[in-house]
Amino acid sequence: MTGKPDDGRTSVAVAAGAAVGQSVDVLEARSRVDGTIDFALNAEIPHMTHARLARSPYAHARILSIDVSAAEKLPGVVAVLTAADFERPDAPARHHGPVVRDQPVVCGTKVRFAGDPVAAVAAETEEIAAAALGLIEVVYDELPKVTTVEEALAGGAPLVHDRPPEARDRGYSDIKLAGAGGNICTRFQLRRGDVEAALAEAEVVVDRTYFSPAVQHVTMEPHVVLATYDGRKRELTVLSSTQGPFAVRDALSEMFGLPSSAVRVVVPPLGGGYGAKTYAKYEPITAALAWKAGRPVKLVLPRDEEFISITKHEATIRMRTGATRDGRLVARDVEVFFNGGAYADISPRLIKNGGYSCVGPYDIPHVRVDSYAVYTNLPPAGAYRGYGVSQAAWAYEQQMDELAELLGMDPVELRKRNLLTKGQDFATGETMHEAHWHQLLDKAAAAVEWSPDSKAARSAEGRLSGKGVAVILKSTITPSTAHAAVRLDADGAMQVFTSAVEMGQGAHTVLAQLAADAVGIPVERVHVTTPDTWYTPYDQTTSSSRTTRAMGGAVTKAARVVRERLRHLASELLEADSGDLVVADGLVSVAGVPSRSLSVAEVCYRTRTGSISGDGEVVTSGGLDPETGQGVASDHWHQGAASAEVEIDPATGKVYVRKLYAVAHAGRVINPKLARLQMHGSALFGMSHALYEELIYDNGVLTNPNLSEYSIVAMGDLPARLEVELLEEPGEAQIHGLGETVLPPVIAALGNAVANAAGVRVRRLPMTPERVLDAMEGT
Amino acid sequence: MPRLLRPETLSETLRALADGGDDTKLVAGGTAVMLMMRAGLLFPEQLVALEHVRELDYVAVEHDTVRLGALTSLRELERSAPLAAALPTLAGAVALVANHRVRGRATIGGCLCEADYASDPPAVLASLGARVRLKSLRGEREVPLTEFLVGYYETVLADDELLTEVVIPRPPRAARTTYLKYMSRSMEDRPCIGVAAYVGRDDSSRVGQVRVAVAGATATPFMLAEVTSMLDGALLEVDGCRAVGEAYQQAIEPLSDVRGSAAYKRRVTGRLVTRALEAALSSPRNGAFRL
Repeated sequence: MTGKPDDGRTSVAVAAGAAVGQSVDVLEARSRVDGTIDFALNAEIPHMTHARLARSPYAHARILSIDVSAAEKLPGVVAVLTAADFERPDAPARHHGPVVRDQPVVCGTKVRFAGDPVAAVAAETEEIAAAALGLIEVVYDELPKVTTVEEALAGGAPLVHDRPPEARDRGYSDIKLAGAGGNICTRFQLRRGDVEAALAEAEVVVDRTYFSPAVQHVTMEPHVVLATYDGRKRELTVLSSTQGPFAVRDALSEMFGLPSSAVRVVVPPLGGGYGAKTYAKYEPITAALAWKAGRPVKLVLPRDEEFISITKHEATIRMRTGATRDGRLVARDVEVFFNGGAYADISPRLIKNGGYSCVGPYDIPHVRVDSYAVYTNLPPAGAYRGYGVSQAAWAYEQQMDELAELLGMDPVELRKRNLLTKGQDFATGETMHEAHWHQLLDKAAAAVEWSPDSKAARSAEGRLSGKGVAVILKSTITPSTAHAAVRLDADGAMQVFTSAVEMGQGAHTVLAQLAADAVGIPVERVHVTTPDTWYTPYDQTTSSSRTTRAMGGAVTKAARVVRERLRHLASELLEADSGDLVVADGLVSVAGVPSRSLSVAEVCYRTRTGSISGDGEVVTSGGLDPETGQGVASDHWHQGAASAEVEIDPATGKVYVRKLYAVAHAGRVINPKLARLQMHGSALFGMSHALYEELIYDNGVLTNPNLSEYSIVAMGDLPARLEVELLEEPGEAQIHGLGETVLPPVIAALGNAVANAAGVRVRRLPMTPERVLDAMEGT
Repeated sequence: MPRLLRPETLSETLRALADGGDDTKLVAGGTAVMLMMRAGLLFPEQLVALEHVRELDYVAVEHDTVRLGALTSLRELERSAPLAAALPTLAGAVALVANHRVRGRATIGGCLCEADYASDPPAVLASLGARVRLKSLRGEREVPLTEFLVGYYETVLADDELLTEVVIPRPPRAARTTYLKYMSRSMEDRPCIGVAAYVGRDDSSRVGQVRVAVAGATATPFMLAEVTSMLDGALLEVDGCRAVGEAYQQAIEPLSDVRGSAAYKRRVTGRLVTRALEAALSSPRNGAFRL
């Protein structure tokens, strides 16, 4: 690594070193296994009460009355919160939302999905709170509802929100609200070239519609919030299993009308997030209940309520792609309908990213994308690992295979003729400064021994076998801001102050590795703090595969500042220019003269230094024009590919995954073991979405809110061969996030492998045996 | 929360049941009752927990029969070498239930009393001609499993009765048994369709009694005795297997669930019944197989 601290605000390049590039175990691995880790679930404080929520049984209904008097009289009940409480003059606001303030903390006039909260109970025990729910009497007048995009957009459809909801005062600069009206929450559009003319002239056109269902994150740890409101000091303290401590702080400070310094959000390690815990979720209702109760309130969301908390967007994507006979893409026209459920949550951003992502990693001169977030009477949809790209790639990577078939061309060759290369412009007009798709695709194809005449085959047992590939691009949240601070103590130990959330992905471990190398101390001497908005510097969010790059860059810069100060302090003691000093393994020494060295502790002791601090930041910029979708969508692009080999039992239609391969561009890998585990996780999520997962609603009511009726991938489902690979660059290189990159291509590669084996295509996820068999037998 | 009793003997248990009435529920491994309580489907006033009743935890392989104590866990059955030798298909089928954490808790008696339609052991035991022993302070009775299971989550067990033992006749040495567990979703799922086949054989090439029980489609294991009895003494060939499969497909009236629609289950039933019979005849090894 170079010696000078980087004064710029961009990310940094790093090289392998004593810690970087090593497979350090997750720092808290043992405590995660033996149960001693302090999850929010384990938190207890004096006078704490326990919350349960009363929820609507109807998908859409007017509330005629709510009577909580019997519940309030139940011994052990401390407080019952309803909309009426928000009429008090000192009450917090009753609505919140990261972009649009459309979500009631508790519903007052109407409920918009089956599960919408109408009241919250705080009681001495969770059992008493649960019993009190049965005593709450709500009279509803059921309203006509819309649960599908089609119903929501039909003429004269019932409105989920009677009036257009208000936008939040201070939103996110990359989100432009446009096109709202009826049940359309917001629209994103991209315009490049002349799509109609190009499609009219195209020699071949494929026009198909692809469907992805709503699925749930199923984090092992549910949403947990422990809120304390100090009415005397007007201070709110919230311990939460959130991925976004500062987003939660800001939401609560706006809702309670408190300065942000009066809201403290503390985040212990999480048991999984996957997007489900981004932005305020259950913090507003728990905090409001604590405000009413005058005592701390803890909410642990039961598993069945997890299933209605937040979902991956159901998406219907109609895509038309035109090409020349020799396989050059000329135009793509896309209509994307994301079913956002009852509240906007982060849909306005997700539909933007999911919209432009439909172009894929291809050079297409004429593009038109219209992407919609549609309100329906279903549980709200929000961030989910893959962030709209899974749905987009399910459409465009299947369509590439369909186009290849129409052209009589090898699908890998078709892709290679159109993949973006370095220096080319994406459909948004931004230049691709890095482009590795050719290499990624080659590796994915080689991993399944792809050949242009790869044909479906039949095994000895009569099973049909097939192969598929897919390649994707994924943006990261842009613009974004990460700050970090580092403190080297006089004994040579170091504290990293960060608001990056450790949720099992190993973020704190890689931050410790980066900090250790940037100063030159052993990684064992580094401690990474728990996010606490009172003390740790601002970070936008732990999501979007951004932490290792953005926060890692901020921590590296902060640590490099510390190293500079350390060298400066040591230079007089070692009688050398600070530029001639190196720091390694906790020793400051004169370059080339290892005998002239001092430990960090000696330097500090002899210069009467108590600690050495530094801070750093990574701030990116960008944004898209709301009319044309032109601009900078992403600070950099995540790039991945996958391939799959499957077998299908023609008697049942069941798909057996024999091999999964996934590869991502990584730039510089900080921790190979954790990087591979992230890839394994993504690959299995993809497999689960491709084959098993689907939230099934009947009249707007979720019918499978448990892990018996809702199936997720299990250990026994792992393919015989699960291989992942990381594309690294030599020397100093940028860090690329890996948390999501290979999830979307796995789904699409499986889709293509199934089509290859079955000879017919299933365009609806999940590819259940029944759907495959119906397609094969034409029923 | 319901009151909890923890008897230590069979007689204490029967006394608790006799005193308890219909608001008392037995809980063995808890893998069914606890989920039903959490889902709000069951609100017992009193629970009789059986974990300390050690005398019903055994596998007894005898000359003509195999007897299983009702409180033997599925994990113990799966790992019992004598059971694997005597009834490999049952031992194998039990090993395909859920995952080892569930099997470590769930008991064979609890599994039968739950009477879930999408469950592997009842179909396998039905194809083997198993009987269950029911005890109460009033006395005891033994009923064929096919008569014990009467509907969705419904058995003939009286409020004061306890299922104490499963009794399985040992098949003749030449008999063939197989179980195909077809899962339409993840490997830890319940069966979409399970087919248990028993083909009685002597040393000639003719078959004796044939029993085929289908799990996952109907309230109780689906068996067509009139179809399979036509095979008695016949030379069972591929055509015969297919005819039985077709007859099952025609006759069965499956329910739709998250694992497949009625129409799909009907189609798959026919194919898998055929496949199970073919496997039973052609494979030299008895056992359970996951599809």
